[in-house]
Order: sequence, then structure tokens, then C-alpha cells
Amino acid sequence: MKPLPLNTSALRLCAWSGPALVILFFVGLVPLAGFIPPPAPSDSAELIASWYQEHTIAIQIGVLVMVTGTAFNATFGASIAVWTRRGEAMPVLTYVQLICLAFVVVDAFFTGMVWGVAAFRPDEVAADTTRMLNDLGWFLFLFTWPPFTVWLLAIGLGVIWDKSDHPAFPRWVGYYNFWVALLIVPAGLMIFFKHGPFGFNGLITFWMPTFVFFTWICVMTYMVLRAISAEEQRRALPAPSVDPQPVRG
Amino acid sequence: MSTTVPPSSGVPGGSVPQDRLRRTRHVPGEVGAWVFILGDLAAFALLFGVWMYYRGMEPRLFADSQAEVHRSFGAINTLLLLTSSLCVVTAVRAVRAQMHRLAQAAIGLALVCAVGFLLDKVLEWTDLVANGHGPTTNNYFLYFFVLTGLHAFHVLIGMGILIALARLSGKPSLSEGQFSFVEGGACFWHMVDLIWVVLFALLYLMH
Amino acid sequence: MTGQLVALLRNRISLIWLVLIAATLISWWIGTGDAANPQLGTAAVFVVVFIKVRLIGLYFMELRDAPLPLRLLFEGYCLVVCTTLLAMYLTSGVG
Repeated sequence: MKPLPLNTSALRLCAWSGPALVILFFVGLVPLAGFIPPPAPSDSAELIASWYQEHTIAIQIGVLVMVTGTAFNATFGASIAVWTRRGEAMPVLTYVQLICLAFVVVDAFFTGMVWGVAAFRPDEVAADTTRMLNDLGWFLFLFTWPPFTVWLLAIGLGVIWDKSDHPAFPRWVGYYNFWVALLIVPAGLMIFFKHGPFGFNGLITFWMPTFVFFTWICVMTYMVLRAISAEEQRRALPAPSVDPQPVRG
Repeated sequence: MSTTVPPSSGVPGGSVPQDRLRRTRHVPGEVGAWVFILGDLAAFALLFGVWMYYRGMEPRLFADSQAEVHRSFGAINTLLLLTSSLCVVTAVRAVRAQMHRLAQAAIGLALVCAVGFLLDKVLEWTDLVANGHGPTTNNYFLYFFVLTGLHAFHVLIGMGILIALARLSGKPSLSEGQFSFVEGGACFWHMVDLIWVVLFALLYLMH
Repeated sequence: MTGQLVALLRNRISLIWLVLIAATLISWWIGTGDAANPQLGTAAVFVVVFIKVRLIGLYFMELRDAPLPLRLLFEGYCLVVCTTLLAMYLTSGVG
């Protein structure tokens, strides 16, 4: 029976969902909802509540745009996992990625949804309630770093430990994943701080991990597309004949 | 850019890839390891900048608080890490020279130094907190504890890597990839040492 | 094994280690340093740290034998970090 041909369309669609995710998150959170730069954790409940009240429609639209992108975590993550799968005899690292991805999708979605609830009827709820919902959204965005870190560690190990004839990714990609996995860790510090670089609007806890993670999506998209093209070319080569004769010109 | 295995590796009878013995220019470990190491150094550079920034906002507070800290704890930690780095360098050179038992002993000593570092750190932290200087006391101590804490986290990761190196250095022959990991892992440990050297100066010495 | 150890340690690396240890001991002993001119003392601390960091990188990490781009990246890192931190120190208030 002939082997199935490679479905590069599906592979490429999933890879490109990564940039789509970045764009939807960016457009939703920055110009529309205005969540980036984040409000300060030290802001009073009244300030936060009034911000939600004054920008209700913009926040609602922005959040809707953002959550539309959250499912693309699944497609994008799958586009990477399919390559580490190839390098494993028993794909435990791939399984780890997929399980962590399931959480990532839920987490990304709930982040937007909680902010959406905060923006649903901010005039009718107490300011404290609005601020707590706002905080909850930021916890979902940042404090949930462990599955992200484990996801990226699994990718990194999958790349480094790929013993196949044609590894999908160069080895530095594995180390790059280790680095991003590590730089996400300080996001956990947000629980302790309401000011400064370790608060949820801080340099080390928000800006560094967020910047590093979203650039990671773009870098990995590029490497996945390269892997797809390389695999296409490899399969397009004529198979070596059973009794190869050297060609003498 | 997949790593192709050169013919000199895995030579029966146990040997080390030949190009490691010649003094040619080579990347210690592999390129990917330096993506990680330089990247981690960059993250710590950000942290150093954060320290200097907040110090610049309250120089008197930082100077006064620094006087409460015992330089001895920091200095002993520096000496311990520098010695552990020498052990690791010796271990890598021992692996190259096929001295497996010596390599494992050297890494063992490096691990002892690392444990000493962490013990000293715990002693120092408990001493500070007992004297009323905790991470919530003021900005100096906040950044002191966070920075040394993040560094201690790296020491723990480094110890895990050293244990892996100890296992590898016991093998009669190493493949190209395994030897790269030995060199790269050693460089990670030196990075941990390097970061501490800077932290010692920033947290304990400058005024 | 002792003979092997001695053979390995009779190397420039051990000398570098001694220099690093000595620099650490000196800074430990100097204490709060010259109270009359703290800026000079601290600038000296920065320079010494810069040297220590370079020694660790070039000798322990073996970057002396590394390809030039990698070595330049490391040297560049040391230079940028040292000058930036020093500049931040000098432009901040007096401790």
C-alpha cells in the first residue's frame, strides 16, 4: 500500500496560526482593550472600576478579539509537536506538549473571559469586585507559567534528543526553548508584589516573559515552516534504486 | 544544521574526538548552549540594571542596609563557587585526558562546594530574617532576596547538570554529542559562578 | 590519581583561579573602603569585577579558544554591562 502523501496544507495552516494568535492577542489587548501596558497592581479599586466603566465597549471588543485567537494555541502547538513526534520512538515528550497545550488553550481563554466578565456590567458591581476580576485575569495570564515552562521544556528536549536521520530542527532551537522556558519562570513572582519590576505590570514579571514568549511564537513559526519545506523536498527526491549504479558521465 | 557525527567519535577502545585534543578554535560545548548561556546572561543583565535603578532612587537606604549585611557570607560564597569552577574545569580536562575517576572526583568536589554555597546562603538568610531584615523590610532587602534567590535557583539547576556530568564522565568513551554536553554543562556552571561574582560586588561591595 | 591531579593542576588555569581568589580576599578584607572617596572605591570595584568576569569567561569557559564571533559577543556583553552599570552608579545620588 502506498504511503499517504504529506499534507503540507494542514501543516502550514497550523504553523501560520501562530502569527495569527500573536496578531489577535496584540490587536485585542493593545489598541482595543488597552490592557497593555497593564494597570498597576497598586491601583485602587475605584481607579480600576472607573477604567472598566469608561472603556467598557472597547474592552469588550478587545477581549472578544483576543479570545478568538486562543484556540490557535492548540493549532500552533500541534504544528510543533508533530515534528518532535517524529524524533521519538515512544512519544512521551510529544504527549507532554499536547497535555500542556490543552491547559494553555483553556488558560488563554479564561484570561480573556474573566476580563470580559469584569467588563460585562462594571456599573452595577462593586469596585472591589471589578478589581478582583481584573486581578484574576492577570493571575491567569502570568501566574500560570508552569505548564508553559513544561511545554517548552518538552519541545526543547524533543529537539535535543531527536535521533532521527533528518531532525526537523537544528539543535540550537532546543536550547532556545530552554531559555524561553526559564525566562517565563519569574512571572510567578507577581503574587508577592504590587509595585516595581516584579508586579504584574513589572519589567521582569510581565514585560520580559511576554516579550520573550510572543517572539518565541514567531521564531518557532519560521522554524516549523522551514521544517515543512525541508520535508517536502526530501520526499520529492527520487527514492534510491535497489541496486545503485554510479552514473558515469 | 544537524549535528553530523564525525568519524573520529566513538572509536572502539575508548577515546575522545580528536579535534578536542588539538588547540583549534572550537565552540565550547555547542552553539545552542551559547544561545542559552548568553540569553540567561542577558536576563541577569536586566536584573543588574533593575538593581542599579532602584539603588539610584534610594542611595542612602541602600548604603545603610548594606552595612547590615555580613560581607563574610558573600565572600565565602564567592570563594566556594570559584573553587567549584576550578573543579569543573579540572574535570573537563580530566575527561579529555581519559582520567575518568579523577573527573568524577572533581565534579564531586564541585558539588560539595555547591552544597556549601547553599548552606551558607540559608545561614545568611535565616540570620538576616532573625535580625529583622526580611524581603519586605525595604527595597534593598527586597532586591537582595529576590536576586540571590533567583541565583540560588540557577545553582540548583547547575547541580542537576553537574550530576549528569558526573555520570557521563564515568563512561569509557563519549560520543561527540555527549562530550559537547560535558563542555556545555561546565560552561553553564561557570556562568552561575560569573553571575555570583557580579552579584557579590553589587549587593555587598559597592557604596 | 594524585599524580594525575597534580599534572592537571600545573596549568595556567590554576594561576587564574589564584588571581580570582586573591581579588575576592582583598575585597573582603578592604571592608567599607575609602570613606573619603566612595565613588573611586566603587569604580575600582566595578573594574575588578569586570576583570574577574572576563577571566572566568576566557579561561574557565575556554572562550579564548572559541571562534571570534562568540568571543566578541562575550566581550561585548562584559563591556556593555560594565559601562552601563558604572554609568548608572555615577549618575545616581551619592550613597
